[in-house]
Amino acid sequence: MADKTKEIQKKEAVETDLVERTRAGKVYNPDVDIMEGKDKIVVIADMPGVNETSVEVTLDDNVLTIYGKVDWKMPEQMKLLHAEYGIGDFQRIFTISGEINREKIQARVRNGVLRLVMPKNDVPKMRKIAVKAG
Amino acid sequence: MTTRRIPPLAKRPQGTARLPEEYPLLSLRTNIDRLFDHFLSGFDISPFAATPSMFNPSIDVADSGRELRVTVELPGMDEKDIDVSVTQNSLTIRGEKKDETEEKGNSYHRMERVYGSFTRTIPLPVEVNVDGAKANYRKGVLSITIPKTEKALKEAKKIPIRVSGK
Repeated sequence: MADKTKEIQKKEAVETDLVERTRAGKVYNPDVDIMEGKDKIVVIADMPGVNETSVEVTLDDNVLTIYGKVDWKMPEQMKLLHAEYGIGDFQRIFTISGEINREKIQARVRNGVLRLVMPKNDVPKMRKIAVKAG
Repeated sequence: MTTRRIPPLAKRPQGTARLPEEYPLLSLRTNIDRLFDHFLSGFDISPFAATPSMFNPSIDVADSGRELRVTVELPGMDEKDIDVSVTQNSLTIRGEKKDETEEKGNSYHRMERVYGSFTRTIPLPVEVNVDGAKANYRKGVLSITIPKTEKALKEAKKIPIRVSGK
């Protein structure tokens, strides 16, 4: 049973030396789906407890960071009887390639799921050049 | 599900158990088991565990004295797809998380989120007032508050201990 619970538990984010955290508390890695279509890349992240005001998406150079702040305090008179998930913020960092159109990245949050749509740059279509007989 | 072998005790009471050297095969087996456990401990995998793709949401239960509060992490669901039912001593949460991605036929680079239906039933530690239960789904977290019955509150009364025999 212990192993089964382990599988569904949120994974705690690995501390990176690059950024020092200024807030106390745990940070988890949200589960993500990343899909690539012809003209865009879509990232979907499960971040329960996050809404549009508490999520932050930043793009610095080619590093895309998603950060979701979970504001949850146990009311004072309550005591926890059973706990399966840890409470903490969500963070995940991606490196994006140059083919993404940075200006047109869209982010949307609904029911604790963040959806990032990153359109690709218009790549000039391949053109065939007719060869004439000289 | 894996069963963990309890490592043999380092110190045994004298004369009660035999030394592992007397069972060379058993001791070899224990050593191999330990080696495997040690080898796999650094990875976030357990080869014999249930399939991780099963959707099994995490639940927290808290007690405020007068009521119980159950919170479930259910990101990306519709409230109409969640079904909560409560009896006097158990709570059942059912639902189905649908794959709502419009981008069919795209290639996946990563697929960590899980979909599917789930049912979780948790026993409640006290008798509850079924009619007073409330459920609320917000920001991908379902929270359910269930008041305890008057009877349960009375039963949980603290008993004062008197000093006697002086």
